[in-house]
Amino acid sequence: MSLEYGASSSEIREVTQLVVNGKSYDACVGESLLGFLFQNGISSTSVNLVTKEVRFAFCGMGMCSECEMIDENGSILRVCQTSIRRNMTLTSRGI
Amino acid sequence: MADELEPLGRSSEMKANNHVVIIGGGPGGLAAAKTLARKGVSVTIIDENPDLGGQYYRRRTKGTTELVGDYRVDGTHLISSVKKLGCTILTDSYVWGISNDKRSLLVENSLLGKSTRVNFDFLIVASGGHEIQYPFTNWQSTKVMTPGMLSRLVTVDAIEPNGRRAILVGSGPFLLAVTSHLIDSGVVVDGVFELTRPYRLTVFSMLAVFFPAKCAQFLHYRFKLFSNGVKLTQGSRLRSVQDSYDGITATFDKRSGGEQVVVESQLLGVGYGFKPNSEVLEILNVERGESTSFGHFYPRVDRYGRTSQQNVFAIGEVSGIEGFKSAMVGGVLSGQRILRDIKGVKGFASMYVTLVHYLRSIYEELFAKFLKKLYRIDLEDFPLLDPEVLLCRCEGVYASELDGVLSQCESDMAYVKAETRIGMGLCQGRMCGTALGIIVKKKYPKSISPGFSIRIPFRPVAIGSIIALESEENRDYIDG
Repeated sequence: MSLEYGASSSEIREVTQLVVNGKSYDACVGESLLGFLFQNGISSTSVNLVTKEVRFAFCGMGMCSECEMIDENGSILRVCQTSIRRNMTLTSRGI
Repeated sequence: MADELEPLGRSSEMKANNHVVIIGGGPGGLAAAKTLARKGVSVTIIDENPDLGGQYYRRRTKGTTELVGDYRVDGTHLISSVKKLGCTILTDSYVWGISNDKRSLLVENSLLGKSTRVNFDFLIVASGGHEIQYPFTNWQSTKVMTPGMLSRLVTVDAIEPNGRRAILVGSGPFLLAVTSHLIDSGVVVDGVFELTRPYRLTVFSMLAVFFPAKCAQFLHYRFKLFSNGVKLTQGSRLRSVQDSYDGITATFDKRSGGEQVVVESQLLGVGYGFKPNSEVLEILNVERGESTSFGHFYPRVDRYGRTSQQNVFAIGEVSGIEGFKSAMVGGVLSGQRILRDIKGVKGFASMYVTLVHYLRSIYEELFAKFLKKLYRIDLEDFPLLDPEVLLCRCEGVYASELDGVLSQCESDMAYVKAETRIGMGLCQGRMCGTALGIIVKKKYPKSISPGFSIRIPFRPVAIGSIIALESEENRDYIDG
């Protein structure tokens, strides 16, 4: 039951549209989502419901839940444990 | 996918079939799985990450591997050999509870939002650890993260350095390893700030005599820092971080003197060693080993990882923070022990393997003890928190909210939790629990080092999963 990265090796460099909080980016399918967000200076994965501060991934190992975002299906995902899929649309949790 | 999980559950009438469940697919869990599965034992590995490997052998995603190549190839080989041996592998799955008869785990698949029971005859807990934090002003900044996260960004995620700069703060040899990764990747390290004072000539001489191989590793790191102009400061404690236009300004207290040190950089990685992920062992009422200054739970284990509970083993970081090599040694030893229990495997080859790993285990433990003394953190090393410091990141609780509560709690962390919500958030006190324990201990020096008590569910779990399990015939899986 390993993760399906959504890309077979022939389509590896397939570029897809990744929408983060309404802004569109070109991203490679199967690439690390955490790496992509960091590289592109997107530092708001969630907004804390109490303090209303913007947060970014903190622990990088699926423990702190600060990198939780909501995808196009309304499911919560942890950015640090996710690869980029085709046509992903992400919103910061708590916005 | 849920259908695939069904056959795992062995009904209670069926005869024991010596099924081994391993929690954690890191170096320790993988070594144990390999040892057992190659002798035909049925093994299930549960891991919360998308792929096996744990933190040390964390896999690059498929896309990143195709773009920049593989990372830690020995891990790739180990994982593929375990997969080939036909182990059942549950990734993206975490254990959040245990049945009352202590014979099955409650496991949530985080992608499906569904839970299942996984029965075991033998349980190997190889759940690793996570980094210890101590709050400071503005540690919730998006530019502050754990050293582990900085490390995975430059190694696993293979980000471009783009002239980025970082500083590393905290304690332990892991800071040096991360610094080395950052330097290799092209990130400029503006300084390493160690809380304690371990780097002394006497220490290096002792290392050279007793642990020459480890000494070489230390000297390699030290030389790397030196040749890249990275300043290593000892005995400095972090007070606050301020966000600036494109980075951060970190302010340190000098431990001995009063003068402050101010450093500018872009990112800050902070961590004070590791805390074991001991929830499963605590729920199983495994006997505690020696107490530690932070009140972390370590099980009493023998050389094979056997705990006080029959057929429950603990290996790797969860049984003592000793690094990935020790975890792998522990994995082999626990595997050999289980083989002996269920198959009566003796034989020369098996005895030889056990002996070699037994000796290696003693060596690794001695070295870990040495390191523990070397990087020993006293409670006084951590300052009392200023009122404006955020203590619980998840629930947004500031240190000022401890006023009053602390004097009434009589060292009971559950009371503080109930009064303030500290530790009730999504991380379940994993980021702030040690810090609160230190604060409480400072207030009540005579108390036994406190920690949060573990209750099921000890990880966030979809409410639908609990309802689905509850509708099963066994309704008694949650205590009380």
